[in-house]
Amino acid sequence: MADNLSTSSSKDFRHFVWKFLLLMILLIGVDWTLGTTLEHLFFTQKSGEDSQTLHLISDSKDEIIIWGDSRALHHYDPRVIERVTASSCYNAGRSAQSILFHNAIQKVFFKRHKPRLIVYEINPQMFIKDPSTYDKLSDLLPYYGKYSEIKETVEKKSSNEPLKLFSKIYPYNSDILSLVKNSLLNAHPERKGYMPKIGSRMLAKDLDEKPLELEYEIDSQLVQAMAEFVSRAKKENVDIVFVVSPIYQPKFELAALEKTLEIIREYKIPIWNYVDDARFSTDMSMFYDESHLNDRAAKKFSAIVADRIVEYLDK
Amino acid sequence: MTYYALPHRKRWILLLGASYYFYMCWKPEYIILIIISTLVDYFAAIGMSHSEHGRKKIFLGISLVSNLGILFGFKYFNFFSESLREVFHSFNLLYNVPHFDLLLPVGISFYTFQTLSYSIDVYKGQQEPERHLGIFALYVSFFPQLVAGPIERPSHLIPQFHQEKKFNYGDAVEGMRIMLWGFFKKCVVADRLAVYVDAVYNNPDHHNGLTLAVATLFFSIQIYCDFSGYSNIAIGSARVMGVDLMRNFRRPYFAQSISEFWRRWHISLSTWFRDYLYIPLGGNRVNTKRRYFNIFTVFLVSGLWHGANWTFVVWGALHGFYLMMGMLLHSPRERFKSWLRIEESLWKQHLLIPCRILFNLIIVCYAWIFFRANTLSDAWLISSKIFTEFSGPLYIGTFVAFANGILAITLLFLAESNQEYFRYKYSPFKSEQYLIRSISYVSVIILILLLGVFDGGQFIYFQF
Repeated sequence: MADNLSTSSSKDFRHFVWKFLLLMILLIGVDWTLGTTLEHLFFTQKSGEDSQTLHLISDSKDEIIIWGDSRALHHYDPRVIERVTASSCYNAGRSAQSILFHNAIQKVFFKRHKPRLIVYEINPQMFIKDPSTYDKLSDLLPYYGKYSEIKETVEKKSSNEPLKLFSKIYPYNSDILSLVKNSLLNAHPERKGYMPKIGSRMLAKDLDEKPLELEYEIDSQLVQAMAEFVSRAKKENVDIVFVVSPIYQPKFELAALEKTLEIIREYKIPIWNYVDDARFSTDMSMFYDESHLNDRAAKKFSAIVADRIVEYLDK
Repeated sequence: MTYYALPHRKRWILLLGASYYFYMCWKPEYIILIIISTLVDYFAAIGMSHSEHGRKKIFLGISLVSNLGILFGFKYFNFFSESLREVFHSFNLLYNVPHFDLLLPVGISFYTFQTLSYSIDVYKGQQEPERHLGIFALYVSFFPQLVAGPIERPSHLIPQFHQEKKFNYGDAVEGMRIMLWGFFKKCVVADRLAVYVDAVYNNPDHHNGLTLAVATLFFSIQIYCDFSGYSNIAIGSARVMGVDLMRNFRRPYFAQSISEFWRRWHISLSTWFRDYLYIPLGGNRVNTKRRYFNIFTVFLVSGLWHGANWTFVVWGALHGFYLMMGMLLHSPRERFKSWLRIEESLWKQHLLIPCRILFNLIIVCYAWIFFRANTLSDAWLISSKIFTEFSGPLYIGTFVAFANGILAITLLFLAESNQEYFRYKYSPFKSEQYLIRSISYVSVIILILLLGVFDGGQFIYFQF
């Protein structure tokens, strides 16, 4: 090596290494400063889905927790459920998030508080194998340094994540605009996590093209996460019910749901299936899009579920 | 460091090992295809150097048949077979050729063309055959440009592997700078826009013409940043090792005509087609009709080079058509310009430039519809919706993601305008001040960390 670097190039090489080190020091400094600022913005944001997850983890003492993906977030109004059941309720639904995310958050949440009942919204396609499910776990990155319970789940995203997390900015990748927005915009604490979908953007032609069945593979990691979610709740004496909320004129969803139900029936948990409930699934005016109820329908559906919760808890 | 620490004569071993390892990370068994191409062309070239004209042709034939045979078998067989099946089917005839489930070897079109240029150059006597098998194998598989170019020429790359390279501060810094800009283009611009483009192009029937037009514009920027970003990374990483690779892009969307666009876009491929297809077909030394035919043929082949799908063929044909129209309309255009007295007025000339850039961008974008669409029928649908259903709300997807995309395009536009019109005058990368340069490097890295998409797909051109 000495032979090869001993000429004028060795001076060049030392010069390069020295400048490179200086650059790295500058980079680490800027990364730390900006990352710390973003961290502060993240954990103090007032609105948005992250602020709801933060509320659940650190403040919620509610007795009924709604869990699931966007169909949970948009279909259950806790205020309606609280009115009927006389129990406090919080909607912890997260758009496009899988059971991997909810399982990790449940671990953190249960350390501080155990609710009386979990209502878990079942999406007929919740166990589909899809690589993007793991990409979406980046929503957990800001919690990585704070809660050891979620580390294992973050590493499912990629084994390189701990390395990338040397950067303090990386957990907030792509989030800067939403962090600023969520820090400035007012929250709606009275909605208790529920996010209404207003109006309808349904197109009749969308439905003609719906296939009767889709071919897909079941992701065993998702099934495993659901098993963990259920057994942890059982262990902590927290009741769970599974609810399948309505879909507009379901076709392939029915076949997918059958496969999903086959899996979740093993947990011996009540399943309340409203997927093709005629009060909703044939009325286009109830839907924002084919798989999301609008606000008016969500309130009606929440009342139906709330009545059922009362019956269930009375037993 | 290991590269520079090794004695010059042993460095090819490290580079070849790294190149083969890099390729085998994807699908190990396909390394055999590169080894076959390498051995066939190595021995064919040696054979050519010892042969008279007739036997020389045989050796060239062996090289062409084996390389193009592998390319055809893996990339085009199913496409042609399926197309034939449809033709037979329409005549109610039986067609019993099976469909092969083969995975397309990454970068096969790139390294095949690179190795073909070697055989052809040796045949023509423009290149001495390389006697060192290791160096030749490295020429075929040099890892920075193995899977997506630039497609190098033997006369440019092979001698560089023989030269003793000493560590050079300027090359190392420039190489890292080029790589950094490549990462910015790929992670911040291309992969960010891909999220929107994929959402729209995978469901064209759900979107109106306005959304489809915006997605098409975004795709034109996405594919530029994806491909030129990769080229930057390849060129930069080679430069760090003291190897100079040819420039592959020169801000193509600032082109004022289609012919200029092709002098700025994928330069290593367009010059390859010029030298090994267009000129052998007669080039410019033939009559006008034959010249049009040559141009059209080159662009059809170029379309097919990109992918075994009719969408790519139509994309190539459209570019061939644009170029022919450009030539046909040259005289009327000049007469129109003199009628408007554009040459006499500076402001008219200044006004003409953005108009020409915009018109060129529009027709290039139109062709990209066929390149990106999943099927030909999707492409027709998108094309017709853009012209007939332009009204209605613009699909945004997630507002924040859309805004990040617009921010990324704005940053790219500012940087490229500075390069195009001010010759890097306002580029902090080129500042005299060390501190300003350092801050600019750190800012770009921070922008990548803040706005980059790290879960994005692979490079688009890896599939070609």
